[in-house]
Amino acid sequence: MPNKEYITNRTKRYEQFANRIFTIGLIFLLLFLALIVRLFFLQNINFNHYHKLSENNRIKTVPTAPIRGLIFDRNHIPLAQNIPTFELLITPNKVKNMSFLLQRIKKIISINNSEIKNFKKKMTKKKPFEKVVLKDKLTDKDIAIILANKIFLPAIEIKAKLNRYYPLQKIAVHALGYIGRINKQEAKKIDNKIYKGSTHIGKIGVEKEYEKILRGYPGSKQVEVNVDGKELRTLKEVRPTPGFAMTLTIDTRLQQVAEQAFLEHEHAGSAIVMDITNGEILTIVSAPDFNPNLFVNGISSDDFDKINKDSKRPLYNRSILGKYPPGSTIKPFVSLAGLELGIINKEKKINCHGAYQLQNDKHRYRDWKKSGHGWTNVEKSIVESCDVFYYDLGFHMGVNRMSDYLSLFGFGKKTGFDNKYELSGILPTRAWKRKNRNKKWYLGETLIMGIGQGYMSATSMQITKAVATLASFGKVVTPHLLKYYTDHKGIRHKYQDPNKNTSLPINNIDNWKLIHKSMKNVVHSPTGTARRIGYNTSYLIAGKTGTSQVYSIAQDGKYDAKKVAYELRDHALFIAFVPADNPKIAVTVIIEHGGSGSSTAAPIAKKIIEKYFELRY
Amino acid sequence: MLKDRLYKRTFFDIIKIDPTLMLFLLILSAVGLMVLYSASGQSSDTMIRQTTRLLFSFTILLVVAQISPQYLKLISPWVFIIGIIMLILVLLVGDISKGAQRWLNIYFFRLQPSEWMKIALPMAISWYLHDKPHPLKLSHFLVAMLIILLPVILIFYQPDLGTAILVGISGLFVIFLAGLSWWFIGIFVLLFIVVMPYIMWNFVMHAYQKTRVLTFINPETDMLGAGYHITQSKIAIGSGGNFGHGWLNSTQSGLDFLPERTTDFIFAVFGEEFGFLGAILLLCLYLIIVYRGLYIAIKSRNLYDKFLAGSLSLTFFIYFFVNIGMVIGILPVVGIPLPLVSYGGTSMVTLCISFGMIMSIHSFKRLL
Repeated sequence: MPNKEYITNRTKRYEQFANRIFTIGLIFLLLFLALIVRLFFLQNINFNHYHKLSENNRIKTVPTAPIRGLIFDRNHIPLAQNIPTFELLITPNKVKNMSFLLQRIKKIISINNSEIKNFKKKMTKKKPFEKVVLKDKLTDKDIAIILANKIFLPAIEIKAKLNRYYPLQKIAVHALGYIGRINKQEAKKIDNKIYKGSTHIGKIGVEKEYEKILRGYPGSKQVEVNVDGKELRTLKEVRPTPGFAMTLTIDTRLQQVAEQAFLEHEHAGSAIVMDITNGEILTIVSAPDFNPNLFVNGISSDDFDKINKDSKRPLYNRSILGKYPPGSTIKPFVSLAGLELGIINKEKKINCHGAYQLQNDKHRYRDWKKSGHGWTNVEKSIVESCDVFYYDLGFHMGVNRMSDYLSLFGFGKKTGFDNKYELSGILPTRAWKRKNRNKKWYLGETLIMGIGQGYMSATSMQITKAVATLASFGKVVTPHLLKYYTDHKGIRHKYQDPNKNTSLPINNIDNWKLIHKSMKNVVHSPTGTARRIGYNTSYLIAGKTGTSQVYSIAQDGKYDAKKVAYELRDHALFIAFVPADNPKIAVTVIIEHGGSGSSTAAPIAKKIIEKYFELRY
Repeated sequence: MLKDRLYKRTFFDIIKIDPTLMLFLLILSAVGLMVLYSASGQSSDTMIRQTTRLLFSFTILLVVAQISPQYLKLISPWVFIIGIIMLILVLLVGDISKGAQRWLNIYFFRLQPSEWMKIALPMAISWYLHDKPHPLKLSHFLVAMLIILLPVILIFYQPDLGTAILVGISGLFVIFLAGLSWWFIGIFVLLFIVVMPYIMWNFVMHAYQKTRVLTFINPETDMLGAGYHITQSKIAIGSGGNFGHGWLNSTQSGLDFLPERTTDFIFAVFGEEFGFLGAILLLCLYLIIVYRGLYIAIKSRNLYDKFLAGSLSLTFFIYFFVNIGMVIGILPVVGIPLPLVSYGGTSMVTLCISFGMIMSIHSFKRLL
């Protein structure tokens, strides 16, 4: 104990107190310096770190979706538009009693249970302070009612957005396609940079094929947000690049006439009208059709069932996915092959007795005309569609030579049409059969290939392209829907044909002219199979009917359309180019299970051709 | 004596005010109002209320300054006893606010007895020890410790750990200043370091208090919960940089990222708007006030006065040190406002009473 005596001296005592103050003052000074050092670390040394964190807090980069490009037909009739619709949004974080609020909203506007179910589902997945859609496509009345009641409805908001709309409804739906919400599989594939802020994507048709042109490029907005994520002001904005406007080759007026013709008879099938000079598709029908507007914001299960359960399959794009045996429509091409390859000449005749038989083969290859056509040359074989002539020609030509020549016209190959999902059909050869059927080729199969039956199949688009090539004396064009697109700077980008300046080899132009003449006589001679459509026309049509078997009847059986079930009835085909003497367009009409080409397909083609001459640009 | 009578009395002598201390207190209050204006989102309502409180508090300061320290000494034990009675009452019948019983409704106004104790305890200990020898005898020390522990335990049970510790510290300061033997201090510190954390953690602290401490040790583990406050306040201060964003330009506060920005975390707003330079100036302002308080304590001519003035000044240091330490993340989050700057009236009144006492100690020393 250093100090046993109590210190009574006052000054001494004061000194001791002062010492204590100095001691603790010193300690406090050190603590004070600790604060300063800490502040120095925070504000000087780590300033950049905290500055960044602070900016991250307050600045959010919000993507702004581009406006999708419009689509027009060749006459600037809008086919796809963006129209504003209004949706009702709720910020769940700002709502104390959600079921109470929903009750209130339910009282004033109509909301069905599935909308509430969807809303609740979305609510569980949202981020804090994210808005959730309760109802979209509000009517003007709904909007007025909601706005009038706004003060009783906290945390709700009406927001306008652009919705894809197809004003002509079902017209050209398969060609045009539609857009829909990005689904899970698509979300994995797409580039998130490009689809930031976008909710929709092209699903089929032009909307899918030209997605890159139509979608545009997103912009971004740097916004200052508060702690609730509420956007207070825009700091920086990069505007989105809008999607480019597209002009299609389709002529809606012609398209409508064609679709109407199918609709009148409730036919299923396809029709294509193509400009043979450049490959522009003026009309492309796949019947039956459906309304694309149903799909844009998710189709209801009722609507989808209705479309999906239709036995005629409206969603199926028959023009490029339907593979049909070309039937007799192949005959002009086979004839041309025979002429050009020197197997026959225009004088060569055979005597048709209504059937053809091979040596050592009991099978009778029948002609559609039991009594036969008598002595038949190339022209007559086309005009009257004599089968026996082609059995004989096929016999002499052989399958591979026939295939090789037909492939020049694009059979068995994709046409290059701007829908990459098109099918290529089948153009059989011996090798093809070995590979795909694992069987040898029979001679009989060569014979029936000459009349477009058997393994051979083609899409409506392939047939149209072949007709165009035939009509334009071998000039090959690529069928397409894009006429041009106009970019955001207003510059037009025309469709570029990859097959530009390709032509077929021509041995003798007279062979081609003969085929043209024969096809004209199919329509305009008294014996022609399509003579019924040839009367009283101010123009000449070159055509060829076709009836393709879906089902083989027994050797001696009789085909009676009335007795055969719809699914097994023959397909009716008609191909044409007009005007016959100076061809401008190629037309293909295929009626599924339509019976004979002359009775069902040709009249529809006639209607289209009539309209074409009426419009005659 | 003659010299004293001949001493020329200034205006400040008449109203018994230390002009130096008063000047800095006023500057601090003005700075506080300025920051609060920004932190409250330029709310005139808040400004009017806070200004009214300041006027009220400084009036009380002036009134208290008129009371002679001798008289203060006289009433010290009674002030303490009343405080204890109120603390007991508050536990029995107090208002519950935010899960703690801290308020006592006395007819038309509410009183927080723990605030009362912030002054009553240093008064009581100073009163008890002012005539005890230096260094302290063990028995005196133990009695003093009892006087401290009684209110501390009562406040702790409200529960209000922060105030309990602060009240306890203000008492301990007096014991230290009164001449506690270094031996005791050594043992005390050792005991504190070794045993206290264990006792506190296992027997004393509530779950929410433990969370606060854990969060303090590693705030980023709980970004959106308990760690959110401290993380956001560090972002605010750090992003202020050397010179700050300027007055009214705090984004952390303006966009509501910073919680409690008008009360406990107001220093974060200041740090963001005025930067490192501003923070140093503000800290110096506080330091000057503490320095002046301690200077008055040293210059006073009475042990009771010295103990009281010394303890009150040192406690003032602890207030701003703990608050700023908490806001910049070197101390756990305890609900202590930044003296004279944070929005709120209770602590302001208490502070002004204590500064009133310091003023009185300064003014009356000449009259002795």
